[in-house]
Amino acid sequence: MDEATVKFRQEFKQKLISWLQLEDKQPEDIKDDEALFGTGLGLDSLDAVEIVIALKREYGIPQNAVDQKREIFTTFATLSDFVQNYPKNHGAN
Amino acid sequence: MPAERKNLSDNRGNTLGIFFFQVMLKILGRTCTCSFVWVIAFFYAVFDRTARRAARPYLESRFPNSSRMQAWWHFYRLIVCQGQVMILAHWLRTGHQVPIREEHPERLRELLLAKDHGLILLISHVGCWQAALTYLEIYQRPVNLLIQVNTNASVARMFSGKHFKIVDNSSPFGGLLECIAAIERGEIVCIMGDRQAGETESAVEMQLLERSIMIPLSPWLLAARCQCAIIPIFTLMRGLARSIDFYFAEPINIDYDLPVKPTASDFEPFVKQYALELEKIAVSFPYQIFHYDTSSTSHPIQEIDNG
Repeated sequence: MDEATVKFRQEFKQKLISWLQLEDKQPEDIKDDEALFGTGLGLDSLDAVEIVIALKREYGIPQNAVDQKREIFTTFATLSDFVQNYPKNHGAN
Repeated sequence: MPAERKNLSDNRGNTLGIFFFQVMLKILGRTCTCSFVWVIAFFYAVFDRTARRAARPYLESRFPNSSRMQAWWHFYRLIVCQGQVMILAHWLRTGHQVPIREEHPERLRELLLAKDHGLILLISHVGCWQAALTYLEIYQRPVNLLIQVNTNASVARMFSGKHFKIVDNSSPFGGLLECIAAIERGEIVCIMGDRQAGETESAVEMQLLERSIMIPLSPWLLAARCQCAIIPIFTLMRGLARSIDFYFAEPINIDYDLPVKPTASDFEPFVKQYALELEKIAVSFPYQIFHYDTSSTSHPIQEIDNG
């Protein structure tokens, strides 16, 4: 894993904790390959809504782009990689 | 994911009984058939202890201080009304129509005209909610109905292939991402607002007739995050399935734009507005509220599907 990815994931974990108000979690508590929903981090459908809205607000990723790639919600790594690699010309801010 | 629950309507009659009512409806029409429901419902009122236990919390809060005989009478009326609603639903499902009177339809029309943005219609277990929803076709907007398909088979059948799209809340993420997409397309999303689909669904506790009920959070979060209005709607049967009143409550706009997930308490003032509307209906139409408490019965049941 390159340095940029490590840095991005660390920052993204912090953002996830902030968006979802996971007050009892620290970035190091979120394992890269841990499932986000159900078992693992234990997020629910309301958290999915928050993530989708936050991705649009913070990274300019439209909801339909997420909708077409539901597999990105599998683990933290899949979600983070999707966001990191989302084409910049789609209006990231 | 919402837990799978048994539907109380599964206990209502058998295939032969339903066939009997269908034939009766065809020959004698809905008024006579609805009158006959009083006879059949009497046996349910006497022998269906499971339903009586399930209905008790609502009826006790609606009719406090009732004597034993009065409590039985209220339950009987409730069962009769539910049967008549089922007759009406079948009547509409088979292509018939009844007069529909709209109360405050401008509340919906203005929102649909004002901007090219969707909205949420909050439905409740009141009157003939499923059947009457077919009426929403007149608004010329696609309607997405978020329901538990496995327990609402007849509802799913009723709406399939029409102006409606069924969104299954047992699908990944509870169907909520589909709802966001629909709202962004400017469509109507209908969500059941007065009962949790399962114990794991996030909900906020609210008082209804001084009794605690759990109101699901998903419509409120969707409305806040999609910045769209919520309009509670109630569909009430009049007379012996003679007509339907379609009541649109005041739109509820949720003011929340913080970049962190809202808590249940953030929604309480808005949910309370809805609970007050529901309470008004309970006062005016006490036998058209189908709130069955699953926790008070030995077998978990849930009334969703009276269509």
